[in-house]
Amino acid sequence: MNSIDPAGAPGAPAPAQTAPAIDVSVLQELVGDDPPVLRELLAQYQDSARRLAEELRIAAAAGDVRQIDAIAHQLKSSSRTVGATLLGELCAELENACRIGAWEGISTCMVRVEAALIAVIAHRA
Amino acid sequence: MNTIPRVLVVDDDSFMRALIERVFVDAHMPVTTFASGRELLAAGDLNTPAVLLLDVRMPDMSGLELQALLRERGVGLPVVFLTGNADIPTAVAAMRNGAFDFVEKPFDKDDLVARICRAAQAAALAARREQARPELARRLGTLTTREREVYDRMVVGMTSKAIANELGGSFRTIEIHRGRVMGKMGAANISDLVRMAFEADETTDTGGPSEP
Repeated sequence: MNSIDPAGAPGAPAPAQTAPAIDVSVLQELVGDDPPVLRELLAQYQDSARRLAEELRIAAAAGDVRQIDAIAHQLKSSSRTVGATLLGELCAELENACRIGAWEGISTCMVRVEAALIAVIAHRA
Repeated sequence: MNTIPRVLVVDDDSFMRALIERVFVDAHMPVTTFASGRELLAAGDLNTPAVLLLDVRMPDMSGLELQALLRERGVGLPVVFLTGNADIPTAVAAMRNGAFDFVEKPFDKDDLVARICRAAQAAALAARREQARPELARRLGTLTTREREVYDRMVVGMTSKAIANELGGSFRTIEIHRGRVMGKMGAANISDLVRMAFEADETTDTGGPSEP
């Protein structure tokens, strides 16, 4: 449905999100379902996601593909671990785009990652 | 052997540190986390047994660079790497450099704990062997040439009769040599002796997991 615009127009809409940005059951599987613990870890993840979002913007503005790749990798790991599956997948795509190295592909992915990041940071347990 | 292993974690992501800490606390294992290799080197207790759990990809000093630096400094603690799926080739290279194991992110809690325990056990076993080795070498040195020939055959499970046939002595003489070997080595029984031979063998592999 949401085929990627070949022109990679910036500002292209992110895929519609029907599922919650974070599937808490993934984290529950790891640490059990003690609500304060889950809240604390989710907050930690969101803090780290917020920081990485900022670093991602700086790296994108500087056109630093290596740095974007490194941030996408880190964000992919923590997102998959916490159950932010969509963001995790988009980060994997961004990593691939960085490896291919074409700026057009990278910026298309960046837009999608940014949108997913906003959803993840706004997520309330 | 069965003491609970201490875990030293190095990961630059604060969320991953908090999560990993939680997993080990739940498993009743003492855990300390560090945000960088530099922090570990400055503040980590690297002189008592522990397992190092290192993230492969970190800014400033990668997990591999940290591993190399620790080796340089003579830190013999077992290392387990945490890797993203794209880093498997790096993890394999790390294993070749003496890392004990690697765990892929996102990790399974029980698998992570089990791998850390396995690393700690293997390291404890290796340390025990290392300690016992000089004394075993000393005892082996007290054997006469003939006793050594008998010993070499005892530890691979040969009977006195078979040894007598091969070395060309009487059964009774071989039995006497056997007794002297047991006495000089301080072995209570043959399985004790076989274990000693195993521990004295410097070619015995003490690295990596024996099973995948």
